Order: sequence, then C-alpha cells, then structure tokens
Amino acid sequence: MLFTTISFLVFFIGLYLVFWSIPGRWRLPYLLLVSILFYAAWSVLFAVHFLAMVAIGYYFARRIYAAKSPQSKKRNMVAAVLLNLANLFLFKYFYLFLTILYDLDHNPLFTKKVFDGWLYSWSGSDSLVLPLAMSFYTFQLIAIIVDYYRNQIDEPPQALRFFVFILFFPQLIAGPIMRHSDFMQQLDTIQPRREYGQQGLYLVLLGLIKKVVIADNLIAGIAPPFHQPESFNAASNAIAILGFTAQVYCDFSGYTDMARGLAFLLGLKLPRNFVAPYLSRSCRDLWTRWHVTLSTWLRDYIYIPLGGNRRGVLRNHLNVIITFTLGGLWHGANYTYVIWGFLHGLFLVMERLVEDGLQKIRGPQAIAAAEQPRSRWVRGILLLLQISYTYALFTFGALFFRALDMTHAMAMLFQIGTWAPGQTSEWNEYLLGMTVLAFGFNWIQNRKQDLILFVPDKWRYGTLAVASFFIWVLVGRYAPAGAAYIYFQF
Amino acid sequence: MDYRQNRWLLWPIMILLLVFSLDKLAFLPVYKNSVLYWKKIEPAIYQSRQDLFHQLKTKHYRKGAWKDKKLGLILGSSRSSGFDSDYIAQKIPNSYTYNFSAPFTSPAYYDYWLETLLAAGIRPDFVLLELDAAVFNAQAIDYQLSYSFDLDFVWRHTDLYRPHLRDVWLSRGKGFGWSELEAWLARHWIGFYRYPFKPGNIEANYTRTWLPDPDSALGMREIRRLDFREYVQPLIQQVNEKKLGGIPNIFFVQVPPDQLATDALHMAERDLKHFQADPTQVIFARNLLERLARSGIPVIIYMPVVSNEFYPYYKKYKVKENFNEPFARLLASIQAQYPDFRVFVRDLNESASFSCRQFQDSYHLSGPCFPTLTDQLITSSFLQAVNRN
Repeated sequence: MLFTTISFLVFFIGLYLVFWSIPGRWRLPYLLLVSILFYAAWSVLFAVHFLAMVAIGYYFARRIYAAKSPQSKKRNMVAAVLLNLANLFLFKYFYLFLTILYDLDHNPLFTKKVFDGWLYSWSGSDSLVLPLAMSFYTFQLIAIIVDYYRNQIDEPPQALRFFVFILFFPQLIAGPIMRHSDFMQQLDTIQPRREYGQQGLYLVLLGLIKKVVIADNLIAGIAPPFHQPESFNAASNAIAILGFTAQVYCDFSGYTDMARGLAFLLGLKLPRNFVAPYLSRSCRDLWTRWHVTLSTWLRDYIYIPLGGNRRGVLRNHLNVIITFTLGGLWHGANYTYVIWGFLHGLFLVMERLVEDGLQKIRGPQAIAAAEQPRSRWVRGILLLLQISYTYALFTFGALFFRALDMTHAMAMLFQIGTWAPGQTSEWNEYLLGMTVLAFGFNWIQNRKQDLILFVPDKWRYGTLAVASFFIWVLVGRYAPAGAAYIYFQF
Repeated sequence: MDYRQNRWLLWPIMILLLVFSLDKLAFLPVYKNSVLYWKKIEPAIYQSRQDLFHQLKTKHYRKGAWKDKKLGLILGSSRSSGFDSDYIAQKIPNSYTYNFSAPFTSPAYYDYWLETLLAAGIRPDFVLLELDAAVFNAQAIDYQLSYSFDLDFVWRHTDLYRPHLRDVWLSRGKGFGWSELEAWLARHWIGFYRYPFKPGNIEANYTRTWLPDPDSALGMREIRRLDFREYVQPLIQQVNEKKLGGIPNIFFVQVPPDQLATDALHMAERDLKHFQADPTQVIFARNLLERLARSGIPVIIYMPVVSNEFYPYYKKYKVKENFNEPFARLLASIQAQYPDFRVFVRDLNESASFSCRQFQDSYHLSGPCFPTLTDQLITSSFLQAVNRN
C-alpha cells in the first residue's frame, strides 16, 4: 500500500481512530498487528519471511545481551550480521553476482534466464523477487544487533518493542533507518501530543505536494532522454538530469515527510532524513543533509569498523571510498549504483585532500580567516558558489544513479560532453521550473522547525484545514495514475 | 479513550471530512461543465451508451415491430463505430444491430455490457467483437474507469488478491485488480480528481465560436464552446435512434501516406513496442468468451484492419507471437470446454480480398470502407450459425 492511495487512507483512518480509542497498554500490540497487516497486504508469504528474520534478530539480540564472554558476544553478533547479509545477498544481489560471473567467464550457466528456468522447475517461481523494504529493515536489524554487541543498549531486548521497532509501518518501506535511541524510549508511553498532531498533518500535506504534485509528474519528462540519450541534444540530456535531481529529492523526501507525519499522528517521532540537501556547501555537508540516517549508518557500521580515520591518512581515504561504494551498492544491484557510490566517496576524499593541502600551504589561522569574509555580499556569493559546486557534483552522480545501465550513462555523458545535436525535449522548461521549485522546498526544509509551528497555536488547525483543501484540489489536478516511489525498489 | 481529554485528536478526521464535503462542489454542473474541455466528447458518448441500453430495453427488444427480429450486438472501440445496422440487416435478414462501441474500450467494457444486457433479459442473437493487441494493454481500461461501469459491477468483479503468473494468458479471476477498483472509486467519488481544476480549460470553454445551425437565418449560430456538448447531444441522440449507436458515414478520408507513416511510428512506439497483455483484460476476455459460449451466442471476433504503414510494425514488434498466438490458445481452451461455441475469427490485415484500405489514421478505417468490411466479416457460415441460433 502506497501512502498516496485511497486504500491506505481508509486503512489509516480506521487505524488512527482505534489507536486513540484503546487503552495505552494495548497500543504497542495494536501497532504491531497493523504493521504486519500493512506488509502482508503486499505479500503474505514475504510477511512470514520478514517476521522470521525479525524473530531471528531478536533471538540473537537476546543471546548477545546475555552472553558472558566477549567471544560469545562476538560469535553471535557475527552470525546474526552474516545471516542478514546472506538474506540480502540472495534476494537482492544474486542476479548481479551472476552477471559478474558471466562478464568474467561468458558461461551461459551464469545467466538470469538459465537460473530462472531452474528456479521455476524447482519451485514454480518465475524469478527471485526482492522483498519489500528488505534493504531498510536489514540495515535496521544489523544496527540494533551491533548496538547490543557494543553495549550501547542498557536494557535487555523485549519482544514486543523489538518487533514494533523493526516493523513500524510508516518507516518500513523507505526509512528513515532508525536506531534504538531514536525510537525505543518513545514506545514506553505513547501519549497524544497536540504539537505532534499538527506537525503530523502538516508533514503529510507537504509530502503529498512533493510526491504527487511534483515528483510523479516529472517521470514522463525525464524518462525519454535517459532511455535514448543519443536522440536528444546536450541541453535536453543535461536538463533531464537536473529534473531527476528534483524528482528524486521530492519523491524521497516527500515520502519521508509522509512517513514522519503519519508517525507524529500516532504520537511517535521519527528522525529527520533530509535537511535541505541542495543547500549543502560541500560534499561532506551534503551527507549530513541527504538521507541522513543512511550516512550515519554507513559511518557507524562500515566506516568505523574499517578503522575510520584511526589508521593513517591513506587508509582513511580508502575507508571513505569503500564505505560509499558499498553505500551505492545498497541502493541497487547495478554497476551504475556502485559508480554513484564510488563517485561520492571520491568527491569526499578530494575535498579532504584540498582542505588538507590548503591547510599545509596557508596554515589553520588563514583558513579560519578565509571563512570569515567581511561583507554580506561576499558571504552571499561564496555561499552561492559552494551550493552550486555541491549541487553540480550531486547532479553528476545523479546521472549514474538514474541511468538504465553503464552504456546509457556513457551515452548521456558523451552527448553532454560533446555538446551533441539532437532533438530538443518539449519538457525542458517544465523540468527547469520544477528544479527551481525543489530548491524552494529545500529552503522550507532548512528551517529548524516545521513551518506550521510558526503559526500561532489557535490558528494552526484552521490553517491546516484551508491548506488541506487547496492541496486536495492540487493533487486532484496533478495526480497521475499511480506512479511508484523511487526508493520502493530498494 | 484519549478523545475525551484531547478533542483535537479528532481534528485531522474532521478536516478530512470537511475537505471531502467541499470536494462535492466539483460535481456541480456549473463547475464541471466549465472545467471539462469542450472538445472532450468521450464522456457524452459513454453516457449515450446508457441511453442506448435504455432505448433497447424499453423500445425495441421483443417489442412491436422489432419483436421477431434478430438482435445483433457490436462491442468495440471507435474503430467499430462505422458499422451500419441497416447494411448488416441486408446481410443478415430480419435483424437489427445495436452498436455499443465507444472510444478507447477494452474487454472489460465488452463484458460489462454483455453482462448488463443478459441480466436485463436481453439475449443478442449474434455478436461482433473487436479484439486486438491495442485493447489488451494496461492503458486500454483508462477511459472506462472514468466514464463507464457501475459500483456493483466493479465491486463484484474485483479480485482482492491476484497471484503473479509467469504466463499472463493463464490468468483467471473476476477481473479487476485492487488498483483498478481504487482508480474507479477515485474517479467517481472524488470530484476534484474527476474534474480537475484547469483554468486553461475554463478560458477555452468560454471562448465563443460559430457552429452550423439550419434553424438560424445565417445558417450559423454563435455559442460558447462549452455549449458544444449541448449542441452535440441531439446529434448523439439521433445516432442512437436512427443508427442504433453506430456512426456510419460516407465521408471518404484518405490521409496522405507520409502523415500515416508518422502516425504509424508514434502508435507503434506507444502500443506495440512494449506490448504486454494486461491480466485484467485477459481475465475479462476469458470471462466474456465463456459467457458468450454458455449463452450459445455466435460470435465474430474481428481484428481491425490497420493502415499499410502501420502493419509492418506488427511484424517488427512480434504482435503475432505476443498477442495473436496466445490469444488463439486462450480461445482454443474455451472452445475445448464448450464444443458448441460458434466463434469465427477474422483477421483481414493480410487478406488480399479486402481491398478498401483508406485510413483516417493508423487505426481508423475510412467510413465508406465499412460495407466492404461487413461483407468480408459476415460469411455464409456465420449466417448459418445465426439462423440456427
């Protein structure tokens, strides 16, 4: 069930009314039940699979917590992490693995067609299907298991809270990737909070505009150049990439806004995942603003275990590149995602090298002085340059993120790089306009608080009511038929 | 219960109810007529099929002079609108043929009308059914979800769970998937979704224009464009009364080959290049054919003739392998189940004897070619099947 469907609206209204009707002690079991139903609406079989993985995670969390010796803790942690990674590998990366083997060996046995034929004869299934939300819940399971191993969680795992933590439906499909500290304490007492209710409704409405009105309507304009870059001129190819940055931001942050909004309506707060990423001043800044929960996960569970910055400069740079390459791979089983991740790692390393180099040449005081320009105009121009630089790098990476495969990505680069002729897309002005609008939403997101909280309390629900009507009309006008959500595929 | 202490918990629900209520303003005639683009006559045509059904039920079927006549039924898209009931009556004596064709239809639409007629006690004596790849793709149902069906039909024909099958042609069930049910509900219950607010349309609709009017001194009349629908309504009514839903015409339209070639390229990209039969249409086609077989109604399944510029794309994009052959297997399975099912499949695209190939576009045959098409479709063996019925 997508959040933007009628069936979800009916589901949530019923859920909400019952949730706030039942006594507090029943709310957790009820949340668990509705979350299972939400997932099972997609597939009952995979809901069983999902529950089994959570149960196994819980089992290992208990063993780790209870383990007396560090070796036993480590054994259980490694077993749990490997099991989750094996599960993810099988459903998500097996076909990529076959592709790599085939590219190396050209043995026809290593083709999807042959494997699927064998699978069909053995199980009646056409192919391996990636279970919904698997990438997200796998990371969340690994995080909590490793946190128990690191003794970062004082309390023993408790079954109901553990299951709700992983299965909580608003964040299930597309994050944010939660940590124990983000969420568990809230489950002790779920109370209605007026401000949460207001923020919840506000975020749901904001998410609807971003997702339905903007992101879904960009698909038709972006697809043609990405599918046939050689048919379109350089400008159309370049604008399609810009349009994609607007689409992926509005799609992903819109869906996250709705997820956070729904959680707020149920008295629970989810962490922010986007903090005006297109207003970033550097790549390092970008990753504190774009998919924040993923970047902190990568830092805590890949970068730091690899040694972080504690093993010398060269090793640090390597760790950054490995971390982000794996982060790219997490997004999808395609070379293009790997390249995208690798590029971001490279950008970060390059920035670091430039910073370190400047520091050596000019000294730290000079760097600090350079960061304090005298006039507002200079500050403004510098900020604009920084934002443009970061956005340009992000856009370059976005080409690979969206491209169908490396062949298409290279073709697109070639068209742009050689300023090749071709047809002009009729969508160019629209895509540029939407990109500007996406920056507008970034500005909104840059506020410390949600905009609705700036309205005096007695006017908030009235404002939300008026806004709801206008957004309802807008959604009616611009909603295309059932566009999927980009991060669904992860 | 927290509502007593925290009444604000109900505010989100109240806001939703308020917005849902205000949404009904979009169904007011003054609004919907203003925003619905004046050239969009598809809603009027789909509505006219309800009038057609009412006319058949109350005035013709087994009544008066029509009592002993054989009833024919045409189920198709705009490509089948050119059939002439009077001409068919020359081929099948003592018959009258109702044409329920409408723009952009699909097997779901055909099954809806067949079921509706049979439920009303109206049993056609023969059916002409238009089926080809174009009506089997996922987009084919779009217009009907907006302008056709009723809640009872949609609800009864929705599969709450539909397994994914390797071979979509083995699909079975009631018909609609969950997303189609949602789409129908949204388009019929949410006013601003059905009639989106489009200022451009309002401006275009209130622009004045001149249209022929034999009753006026000038022979022309100035109207607002949005009044075009009222202007057209009597014409549609006449078509229903005189031609029983068909729009046969004598206007010979032959679009130049280069334009047909351009159109063919676009249509091929849109409909054939990535063709995949939609499970909803496969299920409805199966149910429709089984319903016809059980009712003992002889059927001509005809695959519309397409332009010479368009037909090569059928080979290029393997329409035979992707549609014709699997459809033939589906039909064979039904014939095996109902050995008395009299079905005649006619695909005249490669027929040398069908020589009237003048086209308005890749899909639409020119009006004067329909008598020739009718001659080719209604064979003596079909006539025998009808007479035995």
